[in-house]
Amino acid sequence: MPYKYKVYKLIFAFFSFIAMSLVYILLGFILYKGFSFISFELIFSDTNAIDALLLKQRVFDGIFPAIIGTFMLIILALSFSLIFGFASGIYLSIYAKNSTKRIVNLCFELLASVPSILIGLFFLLLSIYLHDKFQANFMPSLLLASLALGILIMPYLVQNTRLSLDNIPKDIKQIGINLGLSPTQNLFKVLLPYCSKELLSGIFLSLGRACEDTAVIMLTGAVASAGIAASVFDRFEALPFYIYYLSTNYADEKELSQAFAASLILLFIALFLFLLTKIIQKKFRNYYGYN
Amino acid sequence: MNNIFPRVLLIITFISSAFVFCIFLLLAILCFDLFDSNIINNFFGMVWSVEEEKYGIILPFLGTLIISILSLIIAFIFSFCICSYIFLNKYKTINIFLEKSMLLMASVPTVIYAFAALFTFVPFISTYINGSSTLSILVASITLSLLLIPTMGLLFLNSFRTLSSKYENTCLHLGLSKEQFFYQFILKNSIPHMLSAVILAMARAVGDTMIVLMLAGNALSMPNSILDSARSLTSHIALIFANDYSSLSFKAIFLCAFLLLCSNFILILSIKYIQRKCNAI
Amino acid sequence: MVTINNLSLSFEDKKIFENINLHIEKNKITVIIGPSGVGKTSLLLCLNQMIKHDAKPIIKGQILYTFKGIKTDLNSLKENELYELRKEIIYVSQHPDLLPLSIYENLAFFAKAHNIPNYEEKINEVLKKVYLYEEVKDNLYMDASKLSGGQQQRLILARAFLLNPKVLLLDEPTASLNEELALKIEKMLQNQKMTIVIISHFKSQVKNLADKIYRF
Repeated sequence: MPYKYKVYKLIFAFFSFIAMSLVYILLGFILYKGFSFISFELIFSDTNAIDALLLKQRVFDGIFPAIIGTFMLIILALSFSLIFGFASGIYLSIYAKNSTKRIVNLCFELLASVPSILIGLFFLLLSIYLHDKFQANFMPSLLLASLALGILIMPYLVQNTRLSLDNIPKDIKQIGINLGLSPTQNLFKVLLPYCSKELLSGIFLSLGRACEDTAVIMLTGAVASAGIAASVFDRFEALPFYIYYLSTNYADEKELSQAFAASLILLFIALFLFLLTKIIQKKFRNYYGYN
Repeated sequence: MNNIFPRVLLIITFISSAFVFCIFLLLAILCFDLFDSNIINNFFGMVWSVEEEKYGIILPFLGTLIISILSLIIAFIFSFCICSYIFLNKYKTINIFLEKSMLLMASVPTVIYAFAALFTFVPFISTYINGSSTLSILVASITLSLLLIPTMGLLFLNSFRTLSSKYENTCLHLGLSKEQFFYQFILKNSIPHMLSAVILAMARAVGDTMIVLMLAGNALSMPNSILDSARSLTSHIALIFANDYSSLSFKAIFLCAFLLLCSNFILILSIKYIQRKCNAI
Repeated sequence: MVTINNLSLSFEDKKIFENINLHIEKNKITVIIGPSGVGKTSLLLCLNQMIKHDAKPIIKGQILYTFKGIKTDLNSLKENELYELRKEIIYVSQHPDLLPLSIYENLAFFAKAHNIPNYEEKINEVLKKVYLYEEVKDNLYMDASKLSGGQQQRLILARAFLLNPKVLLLDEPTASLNEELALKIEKMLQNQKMTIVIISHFKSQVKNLADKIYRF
């Protein structure tokens, strides 16, 4: 009965429209408010922009420390998890036997599903324990937050590496082996260069995932006002936490407008990273004839 | 050299995959300490107050349950409608728009959803719908569902398209219309995949902190309707910890955390079970 | 029944065939022969208009057929009418395309979709018609993908007969069958009161079956 199907299609269209409206209302609001408030003053406050960029002067009340904090955070997190992520992905794809593959894959899927706040909690407890035991300086800090964030993004790196290597066409994988290379040499000389762009897109994906998470850094070192961290053992500011903090504790219009500007910046950073991921993947696939 | 490299990789992989167990064990150990004290009865009670030394976590648990399930239902309706429409629609522009929008939704940070909703949805709902508080389960669920739509939707679409690429030509050759093919074949045969997608979204909903923290009100009382304020396990943990982490009441939080972790693991393992059972298609 | 006038088919980069003129007579068997790759399957796909489904071909010429009482050019039909056309013109591919269901369900699914009454009896009938009934009658609810190639081919033939089309397009229907079975199927096809178009590579089959031969 085509009539019944037409009614269904109308219902589908209706709900799709509502969902899209909801999302674009939110995004449009951020764009509108963010753009109307953003200005150099909001970012750098009273400090001269160039001095602040060259780290000569500390910025108070501006968003700039939060922006720098976010960047430092995600770079550090990436550097911690890069080796683990790549190594595990390579091992899973190339060297692992089937039974090992299933178990290890399961571990990473479980890790990916852990709520971010529990990862933050784990590291916080770890730091308290180590602090009690060794009296070393393991308090909430940039280092701790980066470690936690590194664990958060590691499953994404692993999956991405594994999928990139798995998706290499069979004949390409065989080329090196047929020419007498060992699996390891094949890996470095043929496979990794072949999917280097896919691996790069995976890195941007993880960075995108890292820059947006709030719950982890909330427990492990992000604070509302600390300037730029001088060392990895200091507390720091980050954009997501800054937005959260201001949304619940804003004192006046100026602080609220800072929150809007910060949201806009964070949104753009996240979208930029994910867009980069997609572009690299698309260009790469078209060039090499992946399907 | 050729032997060392794989061994090194194995060690690194082993360490990385062990992390999840470390988290699990740490929380489990911390909880066991509490099981033999007599506070245990209080844990499964309704009252949480530090002064009375009562640490009932039933209320946050209920909060998580209600908010997740409500947002899951809303998200399912939305994702299903969007994906079905993409599949059945002929106009490519709309399809591309819907699909790219879902990808866009996947990249927006959760804190931005929460922040924007705080200043758009909340005033709207409190003006037009009279509730006891402005921050409510309803707002949190709606916003959370927006987060879940890409998770579910992209998987639904993937399932529809895979089935379509394999079997659509067969059915069309035999006189079925695309709509008939969709309603009579695809829907029935995507159920396992759709179920996995829903469970994955559930895991995401249960684990989300920011949206619930900022939008659900965080009241520690039994909600009477979806317009009341509530608290979830995640926001409970966040509030107790972020506000003062040196007090002693947070030992009870470990139970919250452990519960959260266990429910996530159960969800993921059930996805694996479903996938293994229905690998035929 | 179907008149093809000056039909040409090409895709963006490749010309498939040009200026085909062919009249397919009602209730007779027309056999199309020719070398591989020359476009025979594509011609059949033009007849049921599935050629347009995955790609954008450039089709010139006419395919005249009496559809819903009116003599129409099939190339001009709109997409939402095409599925009704395919209830009358059914194409059976040379590679068995079965659904991931049991043997019985593979047939019953389409019977239900087309609202065919008493389909349970008719399923047994068509299975007997293609000489498959004896082999599968105890395993009707077994997964259809477990059948052998020849059995699958007979199954999709049975499926087409179940839907009782006006025009049946067969693409190498006996390719996976042994000689004895092939002869039985050929005899069955000869006794059908249905317009049939067959693509075949077997000389003997062509000689036996054809009321009319078209050489590509």
